[in-house]
Amino acid sequence: MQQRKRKRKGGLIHYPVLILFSLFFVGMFLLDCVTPDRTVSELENTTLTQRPAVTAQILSSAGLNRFFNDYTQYTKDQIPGRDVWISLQSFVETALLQKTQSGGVLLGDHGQMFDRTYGLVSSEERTLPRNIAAVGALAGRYPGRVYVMVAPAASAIYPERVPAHAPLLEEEGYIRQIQAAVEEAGGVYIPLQDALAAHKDEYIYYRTDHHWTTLGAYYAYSRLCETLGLVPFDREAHTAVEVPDFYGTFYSRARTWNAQPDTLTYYELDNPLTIYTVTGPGMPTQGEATGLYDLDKLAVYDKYAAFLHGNNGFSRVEGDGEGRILVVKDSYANSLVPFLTANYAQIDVVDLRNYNYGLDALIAENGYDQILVLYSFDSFKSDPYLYRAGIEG
Amino acid sequence: MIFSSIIFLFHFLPFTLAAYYIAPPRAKNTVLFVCSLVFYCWGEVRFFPVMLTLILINYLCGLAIAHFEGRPGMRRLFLALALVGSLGMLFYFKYANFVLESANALLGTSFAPIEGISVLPLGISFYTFQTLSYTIDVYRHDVASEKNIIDFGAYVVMFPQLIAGPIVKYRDVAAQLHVYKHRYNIAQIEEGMTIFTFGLAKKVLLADAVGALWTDIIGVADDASVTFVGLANASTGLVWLGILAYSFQLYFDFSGYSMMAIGMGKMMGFEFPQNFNYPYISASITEFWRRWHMTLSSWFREYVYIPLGGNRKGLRRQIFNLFIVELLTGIWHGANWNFICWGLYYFVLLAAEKLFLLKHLQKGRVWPHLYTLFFVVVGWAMFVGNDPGVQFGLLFQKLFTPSAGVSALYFLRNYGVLLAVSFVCCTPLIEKIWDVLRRRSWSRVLTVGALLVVSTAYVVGSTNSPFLYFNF
Repeated sequence: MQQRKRKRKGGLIHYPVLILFSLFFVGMFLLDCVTPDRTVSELENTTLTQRPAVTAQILSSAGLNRFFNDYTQYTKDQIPGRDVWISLQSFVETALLQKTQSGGVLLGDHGQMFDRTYGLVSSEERTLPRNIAAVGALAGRYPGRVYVMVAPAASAIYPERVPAHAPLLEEEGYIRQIQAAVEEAGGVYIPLQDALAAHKDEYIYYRTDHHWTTLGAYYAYSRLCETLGLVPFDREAHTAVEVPDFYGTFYSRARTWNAQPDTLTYYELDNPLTIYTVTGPGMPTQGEATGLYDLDKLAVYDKYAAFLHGNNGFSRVEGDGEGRILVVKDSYANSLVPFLTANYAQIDVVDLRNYNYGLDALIAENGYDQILVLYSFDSFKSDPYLYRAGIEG
Repeated sequence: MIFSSIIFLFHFLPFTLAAYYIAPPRAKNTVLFVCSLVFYCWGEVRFFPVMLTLILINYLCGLAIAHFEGRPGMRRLFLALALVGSLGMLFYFKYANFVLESANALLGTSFAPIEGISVLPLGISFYTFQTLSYTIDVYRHDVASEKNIIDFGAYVVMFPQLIAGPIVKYRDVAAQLHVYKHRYNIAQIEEGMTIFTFGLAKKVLLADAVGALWTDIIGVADDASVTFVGLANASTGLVWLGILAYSFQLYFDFSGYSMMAIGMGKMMGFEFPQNFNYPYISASITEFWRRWHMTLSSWFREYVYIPLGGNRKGLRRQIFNLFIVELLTGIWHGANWNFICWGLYYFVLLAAEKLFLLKHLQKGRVWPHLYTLFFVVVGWAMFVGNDPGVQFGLLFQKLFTPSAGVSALYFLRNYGVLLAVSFVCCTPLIEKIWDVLRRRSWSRVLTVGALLVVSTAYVVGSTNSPFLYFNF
């Protein structure tokens, strides 16, 4: 008996693959049991599915299907070491297979990452013309007061850093269409390509995020000042605060092991910002006063959200200049708006993604001197809410 | 539930195997049957009755055929009943709407399509053929009828080969299904684990990864937000590269799935037949079909080609039999004209080889391989010609009339290493490498371990890609 037992023990050692395979799955099971389920993934910027409860719903076939689907999603979201596994895949893809992209992000020279945009997707074939028409309509309703800026993607400023021959979408033609529509309607289009390209050897685009840096925003702002005949914000007179170790949205998709973190810069300003609760068209009444930056965000993953406290529907900044300006924008403007405090007394900021109404009532009540429309080309082509700028009322 | 998903790998499979090993010998088939039913119903409960009906029809007809021994009329009647019942369900779910649409288009009729069957019951093409092999074999006295419905059900719905083959004939596993004690041994389980890991790696590291080149061109069918080049914008070079990548993907996808099935079969003590034998190294189309999806070819040979007379009734009859088999092969792959074209395309090639080409091919050394690969890859273009994002005419126009557009350079650079690895994995060279690695236990463990870990990283890292052979 004793002998047979020993023989069997000695037997199993001759099957190391069996031992490894079993240990791997048992180990994953035990890890799954001991690691607590997470509620959110900061890196993936999403809430994670929780274990679905077994209720009476599983007695119906639709309910059972739903339970199966929820459970499948739950196992995906809560697998132990999810972030580590994803990074490992990215490592194999880029280091071993020598790919020039990871997670739909192109990995360029100098650690610069680019959005993989090969062409317009079918929804953009509809939104882009609609958005062009919308800014045209806005410019037509307020002749001479509407200024439009479209920020080019990093790939348009740094084509030499893009992996060779990558068939990225040419923005130029579309930007010319936007320009033509704005100018025909009596608005002013401010091209940014040359103004930014002139400073391309400076740090004007984040490497790991899809935004421009505060410096890039500054050069675009300077170009606006040039057009409007304004004296730009004096950077020397203000304190710049640098926040290192910023990993942006491109990084959270690419998850490359050798990504170079960015540094985020902001200027210390004590201008008050009021974030309004938007409940209808026109000027909202309820608001919460705070500062220009949400400093708490600088300590977490999504640091860019510090600017203007993210994308709120309607907010107002009290500036140190004269006159009023309305900024209709996407997140690119969040790092530019602080500079406008040097020139305007009142800067109203509308993000149409969180502002469910037309702009006319607001403009009528506030009598803006200028209306600035500022989008990146990427969101200009795809934003499903920019059409609101075009509707009357 | 697809094999390369977290739910399958880390929840279903370990629990099923544990239950199977722990279960007393007599209960193993019951465990297998119940777990397989859960697998089958996961995500689509409404097809549960379809499976139950199929099992019952064939189980009862099998019993009846055996019962009416000596009464040929009754035996034929029950065989016909099983055939009509099984193929009828397959026809209803897979082909009815296609036939209605085609009738509308050709005859100008206006039949309304049948609602609610746009999604096929999981693996219906595979398990229908498996089940039929049982009833036909019982009829032909090749195998005894199955008395125990649990054992029979376990065979029909057995999860490893349920959704994508290999198409296992009942008589291949019948004996093993009735071995209750010592059904498996440790060496067999270990081999199964190794094969399973290789299959998983083939599916997630090669098929899904190289398939991304093709979707870079045509887009992802069920995700309209993914950017792509567009077939119309691609240059001829890029389209060829894309269709080559698709050919790699199809092979790795399907053979990877088969290997996982064979591996899991071994872990549970079953020996499933081989399904692929390096098809892309073939030196003729005839050879290609002996190496590609071998269990399907052998099914058609055994249950269609040979009963029709095979090659024993003269050349003319043989060519006709070939025509029938290839037509059915095309139809089996999908309810659409492009699959029928694809089947007939192979009929023409096979007939040409049979009539005169084969003897020339046997003399060549390199060109027969190039010839075979060329026609196989063009065949895949036909095969994929009806996918969303692909226009059949445009695809062939791009392939055969040189046109400018987005060049292949970037894609060669990005997928270069992967394409090279894919190429090696299509040849027996990869087996030679493994033969060296398996000699020492440390290199064996390291290889399997690394593949397991990296495959898991890919499974987690990529949102699960749907398995290509689902719709066939």
